[in-house]
Amino acid sequence: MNELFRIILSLVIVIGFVLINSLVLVWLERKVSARIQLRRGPLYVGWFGLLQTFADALKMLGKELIFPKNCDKVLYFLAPILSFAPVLGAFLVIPFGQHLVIQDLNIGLLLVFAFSGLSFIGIFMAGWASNNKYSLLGGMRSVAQNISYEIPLLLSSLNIVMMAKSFRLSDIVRAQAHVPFILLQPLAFIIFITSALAESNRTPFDIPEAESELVAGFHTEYSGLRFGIFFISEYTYVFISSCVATALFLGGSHGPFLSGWAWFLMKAYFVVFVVMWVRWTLPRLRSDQLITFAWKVLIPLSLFNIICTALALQLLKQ
Amino acid sequence: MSYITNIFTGFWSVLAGMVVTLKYMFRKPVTEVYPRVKKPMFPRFKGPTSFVVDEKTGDHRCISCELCVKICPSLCITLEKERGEDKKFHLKEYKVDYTLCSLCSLCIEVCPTDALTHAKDYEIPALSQSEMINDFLKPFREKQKTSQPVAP
Amino acid sequence: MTQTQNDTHWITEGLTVESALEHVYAKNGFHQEFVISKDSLRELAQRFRSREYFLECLSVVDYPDHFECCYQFNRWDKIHRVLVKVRNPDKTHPHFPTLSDIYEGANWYEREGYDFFGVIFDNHPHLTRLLLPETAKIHPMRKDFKGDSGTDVEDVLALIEYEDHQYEKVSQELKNKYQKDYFINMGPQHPSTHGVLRLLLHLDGERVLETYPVIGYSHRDHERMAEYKNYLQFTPNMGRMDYVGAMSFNFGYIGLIEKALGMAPSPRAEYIRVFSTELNRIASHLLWLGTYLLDLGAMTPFFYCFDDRENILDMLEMLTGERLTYNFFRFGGVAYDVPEGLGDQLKAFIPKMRGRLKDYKILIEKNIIFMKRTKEIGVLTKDQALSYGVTGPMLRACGIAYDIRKAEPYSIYPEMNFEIPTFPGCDTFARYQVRLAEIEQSLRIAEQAFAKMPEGPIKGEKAPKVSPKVPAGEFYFAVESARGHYGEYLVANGSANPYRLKQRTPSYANLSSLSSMLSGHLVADVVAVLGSTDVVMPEIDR
Ligand code: SF4
Ligand code: SF4
Repeated sequence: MNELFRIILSLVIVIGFVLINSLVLVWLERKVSARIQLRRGPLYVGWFGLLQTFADALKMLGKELIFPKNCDKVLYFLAPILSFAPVLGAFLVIPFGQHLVIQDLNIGLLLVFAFSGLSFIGIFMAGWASNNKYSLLGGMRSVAQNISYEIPLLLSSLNIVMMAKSFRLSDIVRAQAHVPFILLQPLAFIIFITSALAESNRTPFDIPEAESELVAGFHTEYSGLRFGIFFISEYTYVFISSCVATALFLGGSHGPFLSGWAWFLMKAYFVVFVVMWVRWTLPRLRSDQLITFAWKVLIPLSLFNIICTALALQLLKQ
Repeated sequence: MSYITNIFTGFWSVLAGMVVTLKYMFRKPVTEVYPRVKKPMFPRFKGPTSFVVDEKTGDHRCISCELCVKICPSLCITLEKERGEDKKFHLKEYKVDYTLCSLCSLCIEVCPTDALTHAKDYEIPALSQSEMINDFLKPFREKQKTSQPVAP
Repeated sequence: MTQTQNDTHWITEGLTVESALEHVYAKNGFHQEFVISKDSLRELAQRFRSREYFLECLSVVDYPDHFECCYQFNRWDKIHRVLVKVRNPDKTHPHFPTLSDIYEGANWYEREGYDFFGVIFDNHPHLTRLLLPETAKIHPMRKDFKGDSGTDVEDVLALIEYEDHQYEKVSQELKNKYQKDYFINMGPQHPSTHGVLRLLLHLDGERVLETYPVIGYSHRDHERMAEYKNYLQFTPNMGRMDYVGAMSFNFGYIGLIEKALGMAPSPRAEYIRVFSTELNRIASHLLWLGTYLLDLGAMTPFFYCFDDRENILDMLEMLTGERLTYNFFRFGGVAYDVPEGLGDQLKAFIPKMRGRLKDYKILIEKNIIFMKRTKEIGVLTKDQALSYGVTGPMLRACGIAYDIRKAEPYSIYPEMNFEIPTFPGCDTFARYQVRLAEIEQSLRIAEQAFAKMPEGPIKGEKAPKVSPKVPAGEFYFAVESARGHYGEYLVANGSANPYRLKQRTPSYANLSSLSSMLSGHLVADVVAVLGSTDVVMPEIDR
């Protein structure tokens, strides 16, 4: 009973955190992109425009929810929810601090991947249900992309699991008390970040919503709150990926002077910043090149990396 | 071998690009915060056409020669004149439809008395088309009203 | 520049020539003119095609007693402009032979002829309206056309009904014909069709089988407007056609009328013209670069390019008072003199722009994703370019150094020291390289022109105060706009307004080659290739 109450409470906290966090992330994205592009970004609503996103969210709430003509109503309605809900689940196992974790499962890492792997179903449903050719193309692209990039994502984190000898995220963090794994596994880190970028549909891998080709891809027909949910889920996904990257590679909550969660959040936001920085620098890959890149570059490299890690571990053991 | 060098050069090119964007990140923004800070217009800025106020007389300089009406490619000038007692033409009405005007400044160049100019005002929004038809004589009429003594 | 055409007897050997004329090139821009019979036209076109002449322009003219098709053939390497005329006295629906199988570029010209004049080109594969809607019942460029008679609303309703009907018919037909393929309408409201262009894509999955560009959404019939207005009144229209590089269009029109009047602008005006045109060319290329990267998904270079472009527009605004649709050139000169402070700005801008070009190289050209997206995409071979009459940076990306500024120099370009950058890639990457190299060359020209600018009046002595009357005759004048060969064919009859003013706009021919570049590519490449053609829709639709 106590446990159940704890989980419900933490879910409420998580939802609140996700909403506020995505508002902050959107603000951050606007500011980062603005500064990179010699602009100023939001300035006037709130302190340095912090509340601009909030105002936009309010505007979005006020919009009419439209069902496009000839769409599949049930799927159309479910799609945004299905793409958002799994992301929430992934929060269960993220170790924000030494003891700040909702459920420290022994298969924590797998759970994150399992949940995040689900979200593309929502995207594909959106593409299918909208009855729009652009959306359909976007949905199809997203499936191909997610299937390809799931593999390097898992393979690159497998190195860490081998080194920490546990799937439990808190164990992995504990194993980095002295040396963060990014120093030992730089290649795995790069592969992980690249695939995480691809999984969260961001430039240079944003082909499912490539706005210059497919207008807005899978969410062409979405507006108002439903579009907002897609938007939030994308940002939350970016944040989750950064959290996992922090836990796996950057030493999680370890750091001098400040308390654990502050270090964790700082590191996670830094990764988010890098993700944004990449987004505002690079052009978009073409869909076939994207898949080629996954199968011909990332997967061989990560396999190679795994073999190296295994050999090194064996050698060290002896 | 080229496979590996390709990966390296590719990765390197991405990093180089990111360094460029990082460099720009610490530059001063170039955008204007427009409605709050207004930029002065260049002297030749082509705002809507309007009458020049003659410094000496305080009146407009138009002699109703209709050259501007004839040259205007957009046919947006309406001019009415009447013959006064001194056998000279007097301007009765001069209106320009800004919804049609293409700001080509041909009317300004053709005017023999330099009666026309481009105003420097660029905030001339309107809610209806009729508001965009500007009566050039209006400010002059108002001035006359205020300066002339009212008949007893 | 006079050339001896002693070995040109092959042109008409054995054909029925009604009349032949040796023109003085310097006077009206043509080297030779032939009036031939309808039956000999195709044979003649084949001769030109086999000798690597390209079809520069096809203008239909409605004379009181006959319709006339004026074909212009020209060469890239050695300018030799031949005007070939075919006449047909049938005033209702005159027939002409089609050239669309010899020169693919003729396809659109002929459709335009049908659209505007009701001229019928026999055996044309798809003789439908090009710029006007399918339901239009008018041929607006005919001399007996006196304004639109139908009401607008009814026309629109008829169009909607027609399109609905057509859509149902076509989709049913297609459903029966193709099981797997489908069609997608890219545009007219689409983020990367650069204005209002509609591409009807025939797709198999994401692979493009066929592309049909549909144009005419911003058609205003500038050519008809020219016939209504006098020569001076038409000048503001030039900025409205190619609004991105309006200066070159100003240059083209004013240069044409000056040529027809046999008048030279004042020396100072020439230099002002050249440096402002070159600055405008840079601005145009920067706009292209920014939006092209936007098409490829990179947002940031767009802002850098616009920052640079803003500097140029500021300078041009100081000079002309306008930022986009310039109406700056006047017959015999320019409208205003160089203002104080412009020189300093230009001096500060040129090194800054050069530094930026280096940044662009690192950020864009060296980037692996950009290279992957553009190399070997949208290949246009030399022969295709010839067949479509492609000009400008697109042609120079096929390795052909055809640039009007060097090929038939006008104004003070012969004095300027610059190169024509060419790249042999034939693909979108080569087009990018050409444009970036052209920015550098334009900087050089602008720098030189500004430095060498003499003192003096900004208008020539003989500059007309009012709208001039052009003596009767036919004139052609071409300039190099940012997109390629922009030429105008003027038929003047000595009155205050042109009898016919045909605009040969560069994007028109360049866009017509799109479908041949696209087949076999993916949807993502459509925007990459379309972007690389650098089309400006109002210039195509006119
Ligand atoms: S600026 Fe041009 S369009 Fe406007 S009123 Fe003057 S002549 Fe007419
Ligand atoms: S040209 Fe000048 S003087 Fe003549 S009517 Fe126009 S404004 Fe008046």
